[in-house]
Amino acid sequence: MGRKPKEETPVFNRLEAVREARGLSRNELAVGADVHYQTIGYIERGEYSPSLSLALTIAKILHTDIAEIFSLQPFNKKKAVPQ
Amino acid sequence: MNPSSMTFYIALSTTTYIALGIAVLLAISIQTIWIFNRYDNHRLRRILGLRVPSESGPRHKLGRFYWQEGVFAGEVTQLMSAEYAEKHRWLLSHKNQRRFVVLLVVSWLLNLFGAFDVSWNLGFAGSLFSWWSVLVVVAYLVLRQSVRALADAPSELIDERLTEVRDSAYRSAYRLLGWIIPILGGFAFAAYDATDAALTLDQFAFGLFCFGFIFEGLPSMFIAWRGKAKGVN
Repeated sequence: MGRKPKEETPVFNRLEAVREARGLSRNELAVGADVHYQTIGYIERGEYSPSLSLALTIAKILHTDIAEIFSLQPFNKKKAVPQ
Repeated sequence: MNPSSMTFYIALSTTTYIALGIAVLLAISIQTIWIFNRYDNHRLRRILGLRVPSESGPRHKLGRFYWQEGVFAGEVTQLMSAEYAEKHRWLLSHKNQRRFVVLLVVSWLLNLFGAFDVSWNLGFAGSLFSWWSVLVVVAYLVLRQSVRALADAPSELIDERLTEVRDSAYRSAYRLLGWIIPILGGFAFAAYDATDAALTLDQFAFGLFCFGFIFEGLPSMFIAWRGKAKGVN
């Protein structure tokens, strides 16, 4: 129904890898970030780009820098996930 | 349709619509009782001065009541939970949500054609069309139940993605309504102008019924139709 939404600049992320490295489930991260449990899945699949405040909150929960999770360039899969 | 059957059709339809109004009020009352029973924190009983029973089994707190949306905070939280989604999979599955939308649109159109007495030569008596409105009410209530977690949720209880999904559905719905109203209004005006007939109170009531359902139901229809794409239950 309706026309296609405007093309947006894609935001790449490796949230799933970082989250798993921290040993957190999607639900635990969702509770910490105060979002719906499905929203984390949508971000991980790249189907939703979070706002700056949500991205910063997620980075804070995962004790890492926002640039380690979100980027305008695709992540190099060989690059290690920050511990 | 001859004048006598027209009179019968309108008289029966008026009765039908009164009955439908009562049915909707009854459904809302049952839902309210269910909510209080499910989430009872004894606030209502205390307000009414009734005896407060001892706590037994798990109870969900109702929390704050949002007057504008007509929901309790605890109710929205419960409806948004993974447990609720798991338990009511048939109601929340995207395939079924789209079926509810189709059912509502079809029943609404049938009702509209009945209300404006457009003959489809389907072999139905004119009066039978008015009974399609029963289907409108049923389809509307089922559809609303499947999307009310999001459609009725106050902004402070949902995250930014869900807010975006809900707001975009309302935007699209009312933009579409901006087209529907002039087209239907023009159609109704042209139809009555061509027949040189005066608009009766009954016919006006039918139009209001149809408009009320589309005005209230269209945002829910958009939410249900787009549901899976945005991953919203």
